[in-house]
Amino acid sequence: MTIDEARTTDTEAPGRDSSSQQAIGTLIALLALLWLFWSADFAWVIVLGVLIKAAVYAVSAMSLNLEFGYTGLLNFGQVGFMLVGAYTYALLIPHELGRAGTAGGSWPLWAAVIAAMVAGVLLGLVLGVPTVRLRGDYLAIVTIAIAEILRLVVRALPGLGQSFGVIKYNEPFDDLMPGFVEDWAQALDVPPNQLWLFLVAWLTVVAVLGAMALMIRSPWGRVLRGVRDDEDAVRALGKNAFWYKLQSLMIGGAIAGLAGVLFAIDQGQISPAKFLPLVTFYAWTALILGGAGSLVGPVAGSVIFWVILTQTSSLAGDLFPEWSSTAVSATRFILMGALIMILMVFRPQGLFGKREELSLEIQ
Amino acid sequence: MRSNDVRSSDTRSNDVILSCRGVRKHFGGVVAVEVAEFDVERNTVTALIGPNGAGKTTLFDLITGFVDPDGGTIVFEETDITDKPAHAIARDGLVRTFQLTRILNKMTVLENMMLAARQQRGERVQNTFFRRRDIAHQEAEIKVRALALLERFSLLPLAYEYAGRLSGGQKKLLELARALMTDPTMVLLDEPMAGVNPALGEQLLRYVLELRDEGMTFLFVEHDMDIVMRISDRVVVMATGEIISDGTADDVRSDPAVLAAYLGDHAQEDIAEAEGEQP
Repeated sequence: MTIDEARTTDTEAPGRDSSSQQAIGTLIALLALLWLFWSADFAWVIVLGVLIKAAVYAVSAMSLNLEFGYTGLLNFGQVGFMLVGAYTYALLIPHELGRAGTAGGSWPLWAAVIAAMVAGVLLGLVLGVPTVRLRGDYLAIVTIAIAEILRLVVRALPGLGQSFGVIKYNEPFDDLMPGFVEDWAQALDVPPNQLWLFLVAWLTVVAVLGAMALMIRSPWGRVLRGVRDDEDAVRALGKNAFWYKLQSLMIGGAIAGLAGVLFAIDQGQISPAKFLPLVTFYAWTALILGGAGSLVGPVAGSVIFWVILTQTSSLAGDLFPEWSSTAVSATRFILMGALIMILMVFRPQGLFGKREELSLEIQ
Repeated sequence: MRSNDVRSSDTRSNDVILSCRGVRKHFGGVVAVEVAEFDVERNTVTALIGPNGAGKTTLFDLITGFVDPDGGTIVFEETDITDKPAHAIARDGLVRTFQLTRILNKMTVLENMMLAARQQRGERVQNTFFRRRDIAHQEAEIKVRALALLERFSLLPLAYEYAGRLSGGQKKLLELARALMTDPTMVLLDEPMAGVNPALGEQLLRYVLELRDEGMTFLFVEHDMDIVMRISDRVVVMATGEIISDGTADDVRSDPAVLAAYLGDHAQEDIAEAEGEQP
């Protein structure tokens, strides 16, 4: 290779567009979508419901992807970031709070959304400054603890509604719905506000994906990936690795705060019981399925995750009609676990991840 | 070699670029480094040698901010860098490589190089949204510089390979090339020749001397005495954390303290080998 040849070659990493891997991933994601439509009791209400959840967790998984896939930070407290985002949003816009249903909140919706993201940034900062210096596994333990502490604190504080939580905060969001959505909703036979949330949630996914692409494919993203590979090497080259890790956690926090807002709107009411560690693990599962360190991976992973989780319950119900509904709903988690195990054996990099990168990890 | 000797005696004008005073580091009860006085002159190649466990790498770590000293001061270009964090010292122009290479395996060789360039506008996250044209322009410049360096180190054909695919010797070369991408004024090399094939190593040594003649300063740890004797303007010998000898290659070779340090340890083989290689 001469310098001139090298100069005109695209700077991007090899395997970024390893098309066969991408094709398989895309195919599986499309099959999952098809499965959603192919069922005896097909209804748009169900499809939209699943895809809204998929969008919420796609945003959350993209945040984890920035932190883990590109920076190597193990955040097992994602639900804490979502809780902070959800509560900030719900408490600032008009709502009713706690057992008494005290009315409160006067912020406009856009300001509450920004505040939710800022809250995520601040949590990332507060949590990051003392812990980002720790080795990866310690950070994981600290984050899981922080998320639990946040949940228990919210449950204890009357000002935050305790276990009754916050309700009736969705009016400002529904009020923003443009007229055409109602016509579409009628055609699909779904509630207009569900279709409205579906559109907003997926627009958010696209916007976050676009922002991620800009950030990751820049020199900034290059430093993050450097920190992921070996932070001492990056420090030796004059980059403040600590600050980059903090930035990753803060921007990841903002995205998780946004996921929290979507989560709150989708749930219609929030309470501490909705923010169990399970939420974190769902987001992680979506990320691992799709492939950490790939841009579209978390989005595809989240769709596949939610399709499988919902469709397998009806599948198990059909196959074993004599089973109780508890047994049937437990079956889907068994199936999900088996699926992840199979994936980890045959495709440890996830559907969209790069196998080459994984093989380079073991030196 | 003669011309180099002449040159180094010319430049030895007492222009100190790096100076350590009373630098101390203990690990538990073990004295790792106890250096009373250690200066490096600008525009020279200084070798740091000594038996295993002499504290050479720890001294590197102390100078470059990867380990905090228990006491003493380190001054680089008239700035006290004793308490500066590692990245700030690197930004000041004092850059190091590692004994065990630290290559960013999951990035390409070219990305490894481009990452190292300093003052990149695209390293600020807000600029990745609002100053994209600026960044693209700067990226093109950095890329040209990186490719030219890679060519000099015979790594150009590998520019778009994952760095993790490189051989041990190639990784050593990449690490040195990457350090040079930061436009350093002084480079600390920890065993730069380990695992590098001799022909390529020869090329690398010539390059180091060229860079010195252009004004760069080198301090390096190396166990290959042949190389040490050939390219160093000055040789500093450490043993059990202290500097026991300091002078030209010839001075050091005939210093009884140095022989004692090597022979006193289990490193007789080292010195025998070194002597054997000297014609």
